[in-house]
Amino acid sequence: MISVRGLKKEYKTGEASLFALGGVSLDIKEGEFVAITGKSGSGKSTLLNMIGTLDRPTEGTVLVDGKDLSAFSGKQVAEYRNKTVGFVFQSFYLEPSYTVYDNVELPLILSGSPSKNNRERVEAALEAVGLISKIKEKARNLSGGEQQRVAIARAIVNDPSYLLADEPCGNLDTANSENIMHILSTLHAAGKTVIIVTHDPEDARKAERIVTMSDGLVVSDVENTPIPAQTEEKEVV
Amino acid sequence: MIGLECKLLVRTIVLIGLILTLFSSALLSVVSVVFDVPEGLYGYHSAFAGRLNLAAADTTIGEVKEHAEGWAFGVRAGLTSDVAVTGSKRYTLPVCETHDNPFPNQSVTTAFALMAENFVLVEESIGFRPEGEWPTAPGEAAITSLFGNSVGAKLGDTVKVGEREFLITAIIDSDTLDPDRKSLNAMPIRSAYLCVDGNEQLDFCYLGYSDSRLLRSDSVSLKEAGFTVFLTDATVAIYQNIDLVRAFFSAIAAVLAITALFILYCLIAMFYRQRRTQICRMKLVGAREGTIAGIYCTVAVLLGTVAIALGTAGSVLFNLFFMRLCSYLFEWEFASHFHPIVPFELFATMVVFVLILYAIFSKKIKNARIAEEVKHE
Repeated sequence: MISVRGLKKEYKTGEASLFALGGVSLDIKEGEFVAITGKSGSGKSTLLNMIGTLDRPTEGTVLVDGKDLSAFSGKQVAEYRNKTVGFVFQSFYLEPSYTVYDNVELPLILSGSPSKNNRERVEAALEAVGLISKIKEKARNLSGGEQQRVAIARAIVNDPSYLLADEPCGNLDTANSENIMHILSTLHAAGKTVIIVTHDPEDARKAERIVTMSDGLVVSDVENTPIPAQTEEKEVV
Repeated sequence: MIGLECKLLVRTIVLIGLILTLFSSALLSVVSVVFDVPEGLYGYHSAFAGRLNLAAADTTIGEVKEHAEGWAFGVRAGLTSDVAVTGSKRYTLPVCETHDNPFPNQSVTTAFALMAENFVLVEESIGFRPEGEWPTAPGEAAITSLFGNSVGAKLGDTVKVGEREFLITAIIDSDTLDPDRKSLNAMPIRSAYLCVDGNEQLDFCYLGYSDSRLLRSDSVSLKEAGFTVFLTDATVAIYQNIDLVRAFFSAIAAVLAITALFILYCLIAMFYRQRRTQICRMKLVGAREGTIAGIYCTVAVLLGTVAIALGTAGSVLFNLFFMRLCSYLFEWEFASHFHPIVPFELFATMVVFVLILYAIFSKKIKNARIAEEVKHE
């Protein structure tokens, strides 16, 4: 469970200061599929970054499974990013010169997983996103949709409890977006807690809970009956 | 992962080589000053002579052989090494080679040069075969048979150099040299090597006839026991200005060290800017600062090994330039024309380099903001 309490993030630029988050409190239960939505600059990505330890709050706490992230040491933060959460970004954030396999294997190497088991786990992750056939391709040679699927495979290869996705379909066309959302829904159905940040209402409606933010504050938090994502496997490039 | 990085980082080899060149030169000089080792950039060109002198001082022939083999290895590897070290003592020998070649048709060579060129101490069968016992204690000396025959000196005689007396315990039989090699050094050897048990001011003496054309009026000369001892002008010049020499090279060392650090920092900063995204990607999936820095440092070590070769070559050229310059400006003389870099010093340079790299890089990695990087990409 993720528990956010009174979270503030202040950016200072000279004399002026800007609150990206103005005191957000939120609970996300295990197994939920939450979409955080809002206009640009509403603080949704900042909130996700705080949950993912990519940024530090000015005030407030984020408790994940009862542990305060701000009290984590460098080693604990690294372990948290490696094993507890998986990240997916709009820009994919893959290592372009590495192969698909190398990209997906990286978290396993860093977690100290025995290399003899890595291939099996990498292949399983790539199977889950339908990219096993591209295992030897360089990441830079893949299409946007394929790169995003590799990013998802990398995010789930260490079997994290939480999947954090920041505008995962932001760079993709409709067909690829459908495919990515379908994969995320499938992962959610398999028991993962999925939190996506999106400004696209269509994507948000595929989640079972929609949190809307504005000016660094949560302005609505509603349950949603998810619209199933496109389930048929499309050949999208 | 390291293999991939190696491929991506090959272009930094030249820069690292440059840094190591500066570092190694600086480190050598700093170490020599800090630890009061009498060799700096000026002294260790006579490494082999130092070894020979060391043999006379406090080592056995077996140790000399080891040193000689080490030296030979260094030469074969393209490096040169001053391995004339036993315990905490280091011996430095100024080079005694005259500007005025008294034998225009023959190369002027001193006994140590002869030995150095022929590796005579590596294999006893082809090397000098001493009559008597190699000097093992301070106050003992070995001379060549040619020299002994010329002046009638024999085992047990005493040679007096200034206020010091030396017992001749060994006469090196020049005729046992390999004939082929001997022909390369045909001139009579009129030199002897005397142990002055580590006295930094006078480690090596060149003995010759008083009527030799090698003698110069301004040489330091002493006529004792039928021998004339003189130091070449270059040697005298160096020792009379030893403090100046040290200060000179210390200043150069300081400049080199600061320059090297500056270049190193710039290189790290440049490298960090290039790799920031990659670093953030690794942090994103759970890499710790130390792990990331370790990967890059490992790559740096691998590349540094290559760079050491370049750095060594650079150092040799760099010091050759100084040797030439000093010879021209001050009439100082250097016998060997390469710059010996001791493996230890190379290793120390590498360690210093990697530690600095690790420290600075870890700090930069720690400060890398993934959120900002993601936003920018």
